[in-house]
Amino acid sequence: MSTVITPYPVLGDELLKKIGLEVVDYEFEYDDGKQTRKIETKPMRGEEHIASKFHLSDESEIWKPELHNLRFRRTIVIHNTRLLFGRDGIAPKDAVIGIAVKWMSKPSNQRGVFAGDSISFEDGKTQFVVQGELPPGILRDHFVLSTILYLKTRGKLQEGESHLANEPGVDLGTLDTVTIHLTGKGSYFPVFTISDDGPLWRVECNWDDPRYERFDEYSFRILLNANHPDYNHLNPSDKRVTPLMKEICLSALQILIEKVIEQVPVEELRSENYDRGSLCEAVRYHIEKFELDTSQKEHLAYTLRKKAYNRLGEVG
Amino acid sequence: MIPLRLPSNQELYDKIESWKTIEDTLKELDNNSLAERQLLLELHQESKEQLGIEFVKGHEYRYDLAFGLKMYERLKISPRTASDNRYWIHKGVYVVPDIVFWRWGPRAHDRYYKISSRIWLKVIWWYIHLSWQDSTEETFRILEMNSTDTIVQLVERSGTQGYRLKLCRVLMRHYHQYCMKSGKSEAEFFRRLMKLNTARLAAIEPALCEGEEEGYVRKLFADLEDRHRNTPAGN
Repeated sequence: MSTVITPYPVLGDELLKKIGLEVVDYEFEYDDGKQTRKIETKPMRGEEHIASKFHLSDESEIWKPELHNLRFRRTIVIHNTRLLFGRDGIAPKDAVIGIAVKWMSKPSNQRGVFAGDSISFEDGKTQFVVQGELPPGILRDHFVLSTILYLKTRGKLQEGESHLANEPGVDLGTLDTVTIHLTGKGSYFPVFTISDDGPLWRVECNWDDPRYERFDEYSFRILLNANHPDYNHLNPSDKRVTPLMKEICLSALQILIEKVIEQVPVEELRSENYDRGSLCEAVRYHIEKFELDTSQKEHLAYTLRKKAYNRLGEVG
Repeated sequence: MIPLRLPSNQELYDKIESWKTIEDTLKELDNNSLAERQLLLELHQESKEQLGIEFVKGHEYRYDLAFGLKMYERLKISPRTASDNRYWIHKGVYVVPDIVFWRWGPRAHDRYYKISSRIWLKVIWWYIHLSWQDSTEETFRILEMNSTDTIVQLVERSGTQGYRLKLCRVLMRHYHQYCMKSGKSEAEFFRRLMKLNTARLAAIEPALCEGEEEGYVRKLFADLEDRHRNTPAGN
């Protein structure tokens, strides 16, 4: 994620710990034409520990993103709201902070924001709600919800507050971010199956500038060839990842990394001069997550297999 | 309807390179696709007649706008469908390859399937969607003075996390008003505007500003006009 350097303080880890934040899971519902129905969320398989990746689970199987709306409600408790204000906080004492939920649907090219309750220094409220509704025909595959604080109403600056943000609309920091998949069938790598007279697998790289183009199934994908005699060794119907499949994924990842750092050297990646969700961000993430040595191609191949081999989960 | 399959680049490349006659195309299409082809051909023909042109050279933007508006109105698809590359790849490569060829010439593989942000039919649909002003006439009016560079700046260069729809629409309306003052397209100004906008969006949510998107855009224009006045050479 590209880091924004702001000339004013925003919510950091330290302040986040002090304010006594309690978040309640998002509640989702939709209208099926006759009644309002709830949709449960469940953690994505293999991601239960991080509590930030979920999928919608509509037991009635009626909800369709093309036909139905999706409403959400989020309750947030902040015990020590006063710490957000004044000299050591993020907004002037006299200002009003708003809570909002940003939604981002990269797969459907759209994003927006819903404003919720407000926090002011004096009122002592601790429970806040944000609600929003997305119309039918918007969502595809997955979307991200970020609960943020923003400056809602500017305040009269008191002594020692001149460094604080005081412009309405300014993002004052993120409370938490979750990714919601529309179904439970997400996959880490964009893997597709084709059938032709080519080799067992190949990768396709379709991009010009990896700093701005998205990492998705169109810019980068692995194609497995179902027509190849060794295709069965990939155990396509089994959830277990075979060693051959792991090797394919790691080789593909290596191609991705090498190709991107040819265009944008690693030093430049560190400067984070790229868009969120871009190929550069994906490559930097993998380099850091697996502590990859990119100095030589053979070192990259070695560290990738040493560090990432056992961490490849289910590929589906 | 969106085909579930995403063909490999090689298959798409071969398909375009080996395309010879309309008959080849027609043989492979089902009834739905044939009806879609008929519709798109009509819109293509209407656009050419409206502009009085036989070839696109020198009329690229006017054609994109005319055809884009007609397609946007007639296809009636959701943004969800319009963001699925499979939908557009199918149209460009299998249904109306002749129209894409007419617009872009041979070997423009980027415009059929290869680069997600450049697939031509998709790009012009989004250009109209992001600029839409409640009616075809009004949308045409505010876009008439622009150029293909405006399309690139708006559609291809926007953030990777998705478009803020209302912001884009307000911005395009204000840009038109700005051009009306000088009586011409202000491509350099628009480039700067989009750049400043991207920089600001990193820290500001337009919908949460005073006056919401309208207030945000007014301030964006005012600040940039100030800068423009102070640095007329574009430095």
